[in-house]
Amino acid sequence: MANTLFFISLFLIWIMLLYHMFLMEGGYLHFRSFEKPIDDWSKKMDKVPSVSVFIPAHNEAIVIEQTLRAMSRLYYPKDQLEVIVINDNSSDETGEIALKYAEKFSFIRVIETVEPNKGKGKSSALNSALADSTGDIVVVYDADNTPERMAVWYLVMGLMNDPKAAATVGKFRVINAAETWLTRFINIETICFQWMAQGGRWKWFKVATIPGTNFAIRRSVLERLGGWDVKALAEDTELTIRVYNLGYHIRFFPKAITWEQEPETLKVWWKQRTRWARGNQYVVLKFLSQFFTLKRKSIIFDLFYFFFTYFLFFFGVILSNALFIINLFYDIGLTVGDIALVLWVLAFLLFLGEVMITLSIEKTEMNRKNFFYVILMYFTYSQMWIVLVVWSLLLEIKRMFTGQEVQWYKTERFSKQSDKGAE
Amino acid sequence: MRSKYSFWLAIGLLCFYTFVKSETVHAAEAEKDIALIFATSTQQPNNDVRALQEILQVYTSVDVFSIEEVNQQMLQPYKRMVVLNTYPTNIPQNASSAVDQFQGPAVMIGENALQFSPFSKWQVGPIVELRAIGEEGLNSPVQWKSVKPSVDYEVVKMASSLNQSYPFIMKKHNWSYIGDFINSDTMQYQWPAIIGELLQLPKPQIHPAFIVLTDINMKTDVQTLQEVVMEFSEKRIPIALEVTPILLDESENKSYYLHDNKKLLSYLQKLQKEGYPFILSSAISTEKSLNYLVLRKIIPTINRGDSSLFKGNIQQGDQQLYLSQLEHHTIYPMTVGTIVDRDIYPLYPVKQKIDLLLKVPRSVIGIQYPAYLNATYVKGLVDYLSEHPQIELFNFRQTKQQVKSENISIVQHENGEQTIHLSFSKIERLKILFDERPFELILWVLVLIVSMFVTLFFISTLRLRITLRKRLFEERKTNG
Repeated sequence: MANTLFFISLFLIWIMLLYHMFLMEGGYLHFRSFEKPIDDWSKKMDKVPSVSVFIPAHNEAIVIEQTLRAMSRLYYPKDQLEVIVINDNSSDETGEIALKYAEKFSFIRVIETVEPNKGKGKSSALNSALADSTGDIVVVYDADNTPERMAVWYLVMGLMNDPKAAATVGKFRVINAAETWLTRFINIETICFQWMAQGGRWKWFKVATIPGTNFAIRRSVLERLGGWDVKALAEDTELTIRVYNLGYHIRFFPKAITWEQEPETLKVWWKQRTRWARGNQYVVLKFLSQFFTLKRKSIIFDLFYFFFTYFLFFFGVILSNALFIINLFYDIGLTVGDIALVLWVLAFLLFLGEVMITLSIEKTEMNRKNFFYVILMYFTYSQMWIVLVVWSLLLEIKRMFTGQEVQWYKTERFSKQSDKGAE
Repeated sequence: MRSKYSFWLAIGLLCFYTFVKSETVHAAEAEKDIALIFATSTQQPNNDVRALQEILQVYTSVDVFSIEEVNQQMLQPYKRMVVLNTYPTNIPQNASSAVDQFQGPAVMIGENALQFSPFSKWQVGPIVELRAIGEEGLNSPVQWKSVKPSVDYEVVKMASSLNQSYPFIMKKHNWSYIGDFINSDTMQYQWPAIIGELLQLPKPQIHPAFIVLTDINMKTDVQTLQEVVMEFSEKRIPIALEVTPILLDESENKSYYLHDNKKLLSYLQKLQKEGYPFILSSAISTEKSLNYLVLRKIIPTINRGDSSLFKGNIQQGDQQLYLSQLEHHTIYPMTVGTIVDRDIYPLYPVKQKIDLLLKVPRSVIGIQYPAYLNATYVKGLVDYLSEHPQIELFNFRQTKQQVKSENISIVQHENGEQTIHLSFSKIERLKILFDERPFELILWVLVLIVSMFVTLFFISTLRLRITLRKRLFEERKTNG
């Protein structure tokens, strides 16, 4: 019995690790090739479409100024660009700061959310802006983002050269990576996620996920989809699936870069990631019944990946840990030999290899300090995710049974960030 | 002239060789001891004949003849004679006169006895149902045509039906008579001594004995086994370990492999190094079990049951009491059986069986000690064995053994050394590994694949680092 459970846990864990390994190789290959068509693509950029940049903002006074400063410096014809700050029920000076910029730059304007969308979260705010804008392309940035000067240009370039793409997603980097041990971990995590999950999936399956910020999407597609799902906590993942179901794909184009702020304290991190995990669990459960009726098979695969990640993989990890701990105190007849130990060491080396390759892709990230952080991360940060996913699942199950309304948690911002992106 | 000398030389050599040969024959004939003559319906030896031959062989050399081929000249070299009649027939004249004139100790068994002159005055009695011979009761009654012997015969043993006794074994001078060779129940332990005495044979004193720790498999508790082995070892009692490497649980339809009990496996490997002998017990194919053990450095040199791969085989059964050779295979009979801890006095039946066996000259005392029993009974058993100095425990590791399969060749010498030669190809080893541990093999394949990818990632990382350095160098050069 113990052996069977152990083999089940091994299967669940390693099916995911193998998939990630495969994705990592794809991400690396994508890195080596993604810049090659840029010269050709630039030729089509002599007549660019109109763009509406949405910045949903709820109490973002700490960060909004820097974001708008970066917006003001964007490389894009200003007659084709409108930057819309969606001031969503802010009680701080977000509106005032935004208005100051609106007065200064004609392509920046501020809108206020009104009932019934007021204060209902990011999706509602974005829907308000969608109704109040005209750009052919909609670009979304979180209020703590400082996109690099060429970011919107590249996002649009991706769409202009790929008629089958409904959206282009860029890369985001952590602006406050050096602040705390937590932001260092998050920095490593985001770099790895983007090259592995985004780059790898794009390379092998032409699949990428809308990350919630630094992405451009065709208005026509958004309108066909009826905007964002206001019930979704992870509105980006949810939108991704609906986009694919329409028959489009989403292009990952890491040339478009934005810098964003990440949680500096564990409490904020916990709240933000719980929302993400619950959001993704919501998406899996929402589309679970439609698994085989979805039009695009690649997205079924992707949904299955989410299902595996948030349900089976963590179940496998917990099961494996439980068996290991019980076996320390009580002989449960585990007879799997040295191979288990070899696999454990190999899993660690695989993690190390994958993270190191992605850090090496980013110019300055592969350094001695980060190398030690990666090792530490495996035993701390990565393990925290297990607890978090279990907790999120419990909350999501509770919500399903009680019919409790979802509370959209807005990530708390931190001051003293550098002006990296805009430079 | 030359050819003439050659002729005489040839004649001379012929005479010499003829003389030498006849001397050799006489010498060989002079060594002959017992002639076992049988009368069966098929004129071939039956089970009774073979059993009697085995009993007699313990004492001395035995030649077996059908009654039809017996004549006076043929019987001349023999010192002793046994005639076993297993069915009523008319004895040929040549045979009866040859037997009649035999001067050495002779035993006549069965109903044709009255056709021979020493018993010609006897009368046939009624057919009766025998329930006991002497003190030994029979489990099921045996029909026997009784005899009325002449008064000059001394009655050695009576047989009895429900309400009457009959003379069954009689003796006069060199001739003895046995009513019937009933080789069942406890009688099989009586005949060797009875017949040996009637034939005036010198009684061998020694009983070869061995102890086997049985039922060692994946489910064995290593702690208990260690205690038992230690106890025997402290008392300097040689033991052998009977291992079932692959245990088949039919109720669960599952195979349990020895390697699933790592502690036990390593303990057995340690015992192998210390020189303990191992016996193979196979729940599945003997060859597969043999391969399994040998590849794990446990070398079984004897097999439980029949196997052509092993020269030495241990057999269980009530009929076999002696070490025997059968088609170049040595059979070690497990005569005593096992200790059953459910009994109130678990050692009592074992002691009883040993007592019976001690009555059978040179019988083997083969004892099973199940590995699931704790060491409690070791002392009682050893004490009892030491009370009988005629019991000689032997060490299987100090016997010559040979094992030969397609891929394995083991030779064990009497000094305990083992010469092992394995000829498994890599593919065969992989196949065996896959059969035994399919999941683990898959996991090792996984290890291989992942290792390749990890290496690839580290190489890619290195490549990226070199590219980055080059780029930084170029930038520095360009920027001055």
